[in-house]
Amino acid sequence: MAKYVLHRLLLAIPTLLVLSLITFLLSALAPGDPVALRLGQHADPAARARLRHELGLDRPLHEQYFTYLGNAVRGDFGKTYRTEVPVREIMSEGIPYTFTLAFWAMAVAVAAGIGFGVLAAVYQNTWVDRAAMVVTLIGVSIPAFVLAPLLILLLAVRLGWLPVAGWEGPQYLILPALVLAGRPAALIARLTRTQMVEVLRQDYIRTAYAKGLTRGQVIRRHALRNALLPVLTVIGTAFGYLLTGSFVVETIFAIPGVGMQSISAIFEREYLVIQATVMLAAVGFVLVNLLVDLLYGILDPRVRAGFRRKA
Amino acid sequence: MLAALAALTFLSGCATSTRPKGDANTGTTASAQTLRYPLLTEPTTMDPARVEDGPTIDVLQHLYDGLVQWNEKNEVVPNLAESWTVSPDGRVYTFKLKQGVKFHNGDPVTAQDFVYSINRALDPKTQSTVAGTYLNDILGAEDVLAGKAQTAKGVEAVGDHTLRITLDQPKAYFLSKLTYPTAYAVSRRAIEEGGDRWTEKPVGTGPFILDQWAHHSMVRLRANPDYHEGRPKLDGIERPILLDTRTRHSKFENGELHMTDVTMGDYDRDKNDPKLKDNLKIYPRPAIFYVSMNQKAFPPFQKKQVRQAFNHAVDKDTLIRVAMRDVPKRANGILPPGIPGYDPNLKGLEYNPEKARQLLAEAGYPGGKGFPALTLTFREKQADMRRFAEAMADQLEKNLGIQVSLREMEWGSFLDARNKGELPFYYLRWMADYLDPQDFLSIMLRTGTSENGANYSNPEFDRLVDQADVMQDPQKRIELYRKAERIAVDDAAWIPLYFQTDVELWNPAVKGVRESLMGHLPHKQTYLDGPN
Repeated sequence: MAKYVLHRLLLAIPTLLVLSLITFLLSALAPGDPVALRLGQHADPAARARLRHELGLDRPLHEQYFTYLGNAVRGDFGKTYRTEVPVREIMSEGIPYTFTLAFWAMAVAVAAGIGFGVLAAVYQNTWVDRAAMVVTLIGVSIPAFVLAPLLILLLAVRLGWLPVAGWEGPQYLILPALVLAGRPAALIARLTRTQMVEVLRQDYIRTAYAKGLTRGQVIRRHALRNALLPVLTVIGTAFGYLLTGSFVVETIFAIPGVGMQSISAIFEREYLVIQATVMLAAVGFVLVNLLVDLLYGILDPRVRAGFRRKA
Repeated sequence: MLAALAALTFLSGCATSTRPKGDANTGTTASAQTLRYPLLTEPTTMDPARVEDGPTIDVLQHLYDGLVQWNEKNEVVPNLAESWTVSPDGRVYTFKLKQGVKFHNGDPVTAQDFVYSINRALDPKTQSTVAGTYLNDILGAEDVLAGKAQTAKGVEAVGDHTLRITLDQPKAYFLSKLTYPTAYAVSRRAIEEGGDRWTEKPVGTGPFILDQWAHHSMVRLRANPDYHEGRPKLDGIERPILLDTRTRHSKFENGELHMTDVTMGDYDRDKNDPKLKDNLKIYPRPAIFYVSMNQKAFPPFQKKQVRQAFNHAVDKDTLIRVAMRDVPKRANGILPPGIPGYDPNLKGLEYNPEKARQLLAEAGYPGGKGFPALTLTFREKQADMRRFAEAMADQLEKNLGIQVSLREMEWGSFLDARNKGELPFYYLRWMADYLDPQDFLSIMLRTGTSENGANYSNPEFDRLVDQADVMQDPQKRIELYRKAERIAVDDAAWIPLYFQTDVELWNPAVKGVRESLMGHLPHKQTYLDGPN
């Protein structure tokens, strides 16, 4: 098991290296000069040359990349061009907000997704099923930047039940978590339904009924546990969506997380912040997927046996 | 466990940061006299020497003071300077400072603080991108900016409460430049004690004190009880940082903000909304939107007839109605209303498609034949500008037979390309840094200045503005600028389009806001009265 984890972590290194190279090159080639950002367009050429040297921008690109990489491994992503604040500090300020939002969005997505999926499967081909699938179809199709203003208009402006945006108490979390949960909830619901329908046709389910168990017991003890295994994978993928989705949702709902910081960084051309965000997202994605695979192993003995063989 | 962690995170905010704690829910409870209005972006700095963007200036003008300030009549009036005298040759300004003014940390303000603040702003180590623009008229400023001197010869403390500033030449607009934050007083002790992070706890003399800067979330200010003009009526100001236009609008509708900006798209809806229409406020701003015809990058623009033809071919009234909901005022000239020298009787080059075609034919392009391909470039993601540019390109095609393609550019790239002189034809805005015609005519259209992206050149124009820039007699000075403006308009140096007008929504409870052409003045007299 430990070897498997190590193997997976080693496999992630080339992925992260390639990604770091791409983000570095994109930042280096993007328009806008960091020196001009700090000193202005019409600064003294000597002062510009001095700062360019200080920032290491006068060195060859490959040298700059290796310096960046070396520092990044130590958790040093440099300082912002304009305000000279360490990027690590900006990230550490934003992560708790993004994490909190992602956590609650995922909690809503899992609860609603599994609930809708199970209902749809149990009442397969009835109006319940069709209604659940229509709702989830809307959930998958409607982007956050459309859903958010709609919910704001309805629940905040028209009904006045919730605040519009900000981060001033738990009630401020409800709308953004709902918006961010929409798409993963819909995906989880559709997959849960498919899996449940499949599992409910199995012989052991019929056997369970024959033993005299109630429908609730059969679903909880036998059907759901088996049906949920593939759903775990979707949760892993959904995590990626939560990170990218948070860019939009945090901006609309004024949540000072990594997403909103990145949007500001893009406007301000603070490329080091953008690089750090991409790397952070990549590391997070790799770790969550690893976690999902390990959970798979814990829940499914067949996969666990696979770990041993590989190890 | 995870849930507990997430919940804890919600309450604690940024546990690992060494900067002041950053979530809005840890702030003080807002009193009934707390004004809430949004910041459109995270403040770029709390250092007045370095600030260059409007939203941040609006925060800093509450924290710091300068020698002088704007009033509601757009006049420069005393602030920390009680009075001043100007030498007969117009080069030496002697300011008498107010007695008993204190920084937020209790230190008294003396003339030496201004000597320090101005030299600090000029010091290359401060990396101010704006000191060169606003303080460069001071004798010796250029040497400090270039790193050749530590202090500017032209700034001296003559006793504790007398400051003398000597200019390199007489400049009638100098006092206007001192209204900009680069010249504000900063506390040397606070900066030296605060080290790299002093801007997290800025110390000024302003009517409000920074209570909390929750990065990317909220800026909170509280009233300065010892303010030299008396304590502000408000207890505090809250500035939630809201990047999204729709969010700001919805928060206003929901009663979560007292004021907010309004886009032209929303304006159309709001003016017909019975709940909102009475809350709309329209303000002219000292800014012009114009089209620059770059004579170096696009040789046909070197012909005056071509430039005039383009001017006569654009029906500004229709464009303003179609693209701008009839809000902004048509620009016939360069100087916006409110800027000294603005000429309401200036007719400019009127819409006359027949004359436009004739001029173009005289220039050698009858019916637009043989005219090289032309692209109009403008800043991306500006819906109003895009609509305007599309309609303007249609008019040029219809009236001149010239095909104009449109190109939207990311702002940074746009500025780069424009500063390198690569854009032949672009649509841009210029907003006053201070209310003086020099800031428009001499800066934008004098031969060879860095902002003269049109590469316009007329020796007579240059002679007039050079003379006006150093002239002491205000009346004669304005006359010279007016003459220069008429020359530039007749030469069709630009296509002046319209003057900026801002639309805002205000809760009726907000009272006592002082407004100038430059924007809201510091909320020293503002208060909230009634349900809000």
